[in-house]
Amino acid sequence: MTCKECRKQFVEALYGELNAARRAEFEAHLQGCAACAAEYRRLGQTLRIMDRREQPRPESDFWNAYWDKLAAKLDAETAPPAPRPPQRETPAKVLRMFGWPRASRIAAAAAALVLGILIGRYFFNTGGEEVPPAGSRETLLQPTALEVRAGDYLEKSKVLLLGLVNWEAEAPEATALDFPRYQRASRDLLQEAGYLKTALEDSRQRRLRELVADLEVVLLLIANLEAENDLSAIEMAKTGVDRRGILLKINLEEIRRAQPLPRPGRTSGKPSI
Amino acid sequence: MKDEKELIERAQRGEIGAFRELVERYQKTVYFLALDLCGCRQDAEDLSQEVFLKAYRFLPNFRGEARLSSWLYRITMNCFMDTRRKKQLPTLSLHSDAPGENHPAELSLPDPAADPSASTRSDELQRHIRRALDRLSPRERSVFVLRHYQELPLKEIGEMLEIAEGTVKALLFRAIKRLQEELAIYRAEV
Repeated sequence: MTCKECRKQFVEALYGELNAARRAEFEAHLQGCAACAAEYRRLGQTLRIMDRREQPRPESDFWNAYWDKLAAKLDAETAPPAPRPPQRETPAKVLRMFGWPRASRIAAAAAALVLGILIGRYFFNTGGEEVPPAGSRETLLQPTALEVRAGDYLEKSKVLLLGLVNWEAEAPEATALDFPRYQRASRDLLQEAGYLKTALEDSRQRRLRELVADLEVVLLLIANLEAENDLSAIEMAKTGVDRRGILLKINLEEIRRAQPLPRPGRTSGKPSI
Repeated sequence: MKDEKELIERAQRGEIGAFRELVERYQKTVYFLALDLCGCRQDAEDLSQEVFLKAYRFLPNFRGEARLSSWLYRITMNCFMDTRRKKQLPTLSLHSDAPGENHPAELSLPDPAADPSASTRSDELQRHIRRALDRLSPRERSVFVLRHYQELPLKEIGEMLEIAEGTVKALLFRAIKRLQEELAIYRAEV
């Protein structure tokens, strides 16, 4: 056996995967070759060092909560649209929270409703779509806190942006827009955007993360408006919303999140490396 | 213990209870493999959960030709490779700026003149081992973890990663050589 042949067998020898005949030949070479023997010994020492590695052992609480966390993620993928919780803020309440006048609230709500209906009708006609059977999964699986938080963020941002795009400088109620409050709301949402972008690092949430980032740009523009009569900046923000298709994306995201994912048995393909 | 085949069939029909039993049966196996691969608990938890989400989605494609454990191993490796490719997992590094388990502070080599306590030396060794593993490429690390810690035969690793056995040997040899360079200072102790 040459040194080259010997070294090719180091790995198998180290892990005991040489058969008896090859093992004997291998060891015979080591006995007559100090260089190969020294190299083999060093590799063995390295593996013994790696054997001293310690792994943290999770507490039993970790395992007890493991399924619940997984179930929440499964639910986020598979649950049918859930009825809105009664305590959740309505768009009208959110608008009031931002201090919008009644006329703007009505216009914004109407625009959101029409947009939602149109998108739903033309892009997401799901008539006859199989829905997972009601029962254990729906009661077992609840949306994650992150999902709820992202949903609230989108909803508030949408309301805010609808007010912006519907705002006309010449409109009678234009001066009634409370810009300082509007900007405060933008800053609050910017803070939330920072959190969500980090929390949504999971690649499965790529679309949502990109939407949050798009929204962040526009919110930043609004938050930094010099004055309420800075019409060019307002127009720029409106153009940004339009050009990035942000309202459309928000509606699509909301609809997508409400769609039930297929149950097992309706997927195809295999996981890829 | 319930028959695994029956559990799989029920889970394939969408019975969440059966899927839960399968998860509880394999959660430790998958988690600890993920921990070997990622090197930190949070990433391991995320990765292992991603594995079960994928398993749920693709369970109907599982025909039972391989063991479920092998199938889950394979998904784990796929997810790990995907994750590393997509976002470069924040693994242990000398250049990390935040101390902690996931991002340890800059590591220092042991001072031969110092006489640190056994626990300090042990902590230091653990950090160096993690750092050495972190410096392997994802493929080298995968092969090393599967052979050394999971004790899978070279042939099985090749099948799992869909690479030739010769490639597995080459990757493993390279991995051990790199670990040897990183951990040379500890060789006298073993």
